Amino acid sequence: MATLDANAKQTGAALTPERKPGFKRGINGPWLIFILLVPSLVLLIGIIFYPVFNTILLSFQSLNLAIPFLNHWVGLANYGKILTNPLFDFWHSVEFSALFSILSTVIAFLIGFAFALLLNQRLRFQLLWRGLALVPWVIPYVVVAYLFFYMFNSQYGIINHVLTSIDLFGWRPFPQPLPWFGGDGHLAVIATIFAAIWNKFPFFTLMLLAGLQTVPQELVDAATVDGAGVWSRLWNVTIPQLRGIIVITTTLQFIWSLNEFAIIWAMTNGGPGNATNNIVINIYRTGFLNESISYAATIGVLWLLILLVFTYFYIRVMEGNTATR
Amino acid sequence: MSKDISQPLDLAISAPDTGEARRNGKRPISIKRVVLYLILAVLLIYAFFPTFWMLSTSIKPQLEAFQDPPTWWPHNPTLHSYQILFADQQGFLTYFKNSLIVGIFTTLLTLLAATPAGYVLSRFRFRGARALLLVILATQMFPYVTILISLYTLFRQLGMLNTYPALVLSFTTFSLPFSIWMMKGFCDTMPTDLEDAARVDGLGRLGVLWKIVMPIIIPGVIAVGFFAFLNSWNELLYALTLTSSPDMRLIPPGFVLTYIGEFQDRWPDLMAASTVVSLPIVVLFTIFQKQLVSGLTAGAVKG
Repeated sequence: MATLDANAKQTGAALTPERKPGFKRGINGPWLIFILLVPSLVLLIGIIFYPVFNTILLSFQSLNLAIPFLNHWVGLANYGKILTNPLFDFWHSVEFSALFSILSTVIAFLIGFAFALLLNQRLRFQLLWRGLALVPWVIPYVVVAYLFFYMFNSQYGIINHVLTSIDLFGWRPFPQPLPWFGGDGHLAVIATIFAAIWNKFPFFTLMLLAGLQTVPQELVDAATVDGAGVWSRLWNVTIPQLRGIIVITTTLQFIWSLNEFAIIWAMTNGGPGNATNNIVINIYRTGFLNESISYAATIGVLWLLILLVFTYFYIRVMEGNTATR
Repeated sequence: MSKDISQPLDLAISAPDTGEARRNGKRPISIKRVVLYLILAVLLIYAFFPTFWMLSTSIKPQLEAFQDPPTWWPHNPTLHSYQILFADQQGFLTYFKNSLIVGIFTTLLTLLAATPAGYVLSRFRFRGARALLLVILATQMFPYVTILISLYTLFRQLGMLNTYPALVLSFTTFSLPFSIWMMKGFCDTMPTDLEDAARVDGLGRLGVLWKIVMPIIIPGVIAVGFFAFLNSWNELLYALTLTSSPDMRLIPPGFVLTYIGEFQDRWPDLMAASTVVSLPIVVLFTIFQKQLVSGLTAGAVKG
C-alpha cells in the first residue's frame, strides 16, 4: 500500500529515488536486474497486456460464442450500438458503478476512521475490540453477500424484523416489512451498498490505526497546550498528518469497488431488472451469459477508457496539490 | 513504521495523560469516557453482529432459520449443518480443496514474480525504470473483467478451461501489479546500509540478496502473500467463468451455484459452510497480523 503512496503524493520524486546502494559497478549489474524482472515482465505481458490488446481487437469483431464461425470485422459498429442502444444498459451501469463505489468508499471510510480513532484511545480489552472490528474484512465476499442476503430477507430477515418493531411513542417508521430485493430496485441498491460497507470499513480501520500511531505526540501536546479542543486537534493536527494515508486508502478502495462483482452478483444477480447492474456484471452478462464476447469486449474497452481518463485527471490533481503544498 | 499497534501507544487526539492518576489507580470516570465507550459499543455491535448472526444461524435447525420473529440464539442448537458439510454431499470438500490448491499456487507465483521485481524497482536505477513503474501503476486501474474476456477465449482455444494452471495464471493478473507496488513500497522503507556494508565486505551480489535482503523483507513478503491468497480465496468472477465442471469448482462459485440453486435457501447449511470457509483467512490473519500491518503500511504511513 506503500505502493500508491509516493506516486500519488509526488510522482517525480518517488520514481527516481535518490538512495542507491553500491551496485553501480560490476558487469553482472544489468543482467541481474533483468533476471530479477523477468518473471514479472513475462506475466505482465502474457496475462495482462496481451489479453487487453486482444480484447481491443475483439471489440472490432462480431464474435459470439454460440456462432464463432461467423466472426468477422465490423469496424466501429459495436461502439455505436453500445453507446446508443439502451438495451445494453451501458450508461446506467456506469452510473451505478460510480454511485456504488463513491457511497461505499466514503461511508466505509467514515466508519473505519471513527473506529480507528476510538481504538487508538486507552481502552480496556483493547486487543479484543480491535480483533472484533477487523473480522468483517477477512470474511469472504460471497459469504458477506449471502449473509446480508439472508439478513435482508423480506419475510424472515432480521433487518426487517428490527425495522418493523421500531416504535417511538406510537410512531412506527416501518409498519410493513420492506421488499429489499423487489420493487423498483432502490432498496436492493441500498442493500448491496450496505453489505459492501460492512466488508470494507475494517481495511480503513487497520490502515488508519497504523497511521495514527505515527502522529507525533509532541504535535498533539502542543495543540492541547494552545487550547485546542478534541475536534480542533482532530481537524488541524491528526487529519493533516494522515493526509497521505487517507488519499491512498480511499483511492485504492474506490478502484477496487469499481471492480466489485462478487458481493453484488451473489446478492442480486444485478437485479431486480437492471437496478444493481454494475459495469462488471453488465460485461459478465453480455459476454458470458449471452455469449456476445465482442459486445462485452466493447463495453470493457469503453470502461477502460473512462478509467484511464479518470486516472489521468486524478494524477494531475494530485500533482497539482503537491506543487501548491 | 513497524510499531506494534497492539500496544496501547500514545493517543493521537486525546489530551496527554500525566500517568499519575493511572498509576494511583483512581482514574476519574468522566462523562467523556462513558460517551466514548457508548460509541464504541454501537460500532462494535455493527461490526460484529452479522458474524454473530452467521454463527447463530449455522447451529439452528432448518425450520428455526425461517421463523418470524427470528430467534436470537437457537432454542435447540445442533451441529447437524456442520456434520453434513463434512459428509460432502454437496461437493464442499472438493471446492475447499480446489480453493486451497489454487490459492497456494497463486500466492507462490505472485511472490516469485513480485518480490524480485519490487526489490529491483526500489533499489536500482536503470533505463526504463520510471516507465515500468508508471505502466504497473496504470495496470492497477485496469478493470480486470476486460482481461477476462480475452483470457477466456484464449484458454478456450488452448483447451485449458477447467484446469488449475488456467485458474492460477488468471488469478495472478489481479494480484501481481498491486503486489509489485506493495513490495517496492516496502523495500523503499528498508535502509540500505546493511546491503552496502555486506558488499564492501566482499559478499557477492546474490549473496547479498539471499543472506541480507531476504530476511529483512520477510514482513513485506508475508503481507503480499496474504493479499494474494485473500484475493484468490475471494475470487468469484474468474472462477465462475473459467470452470464449468463441478470437480474443478472453487468455493465462491460453489456457493453461488450450489446453495442458491439446488439447495434453495438452506440457511443453516449455508451459514455453516460460510463459517468454515472464513476460518482459514481468520487464522492466517491472526497469525500474521503484525507482519501484515507493517508490510501494508510500510510506505504509506512513513510521512
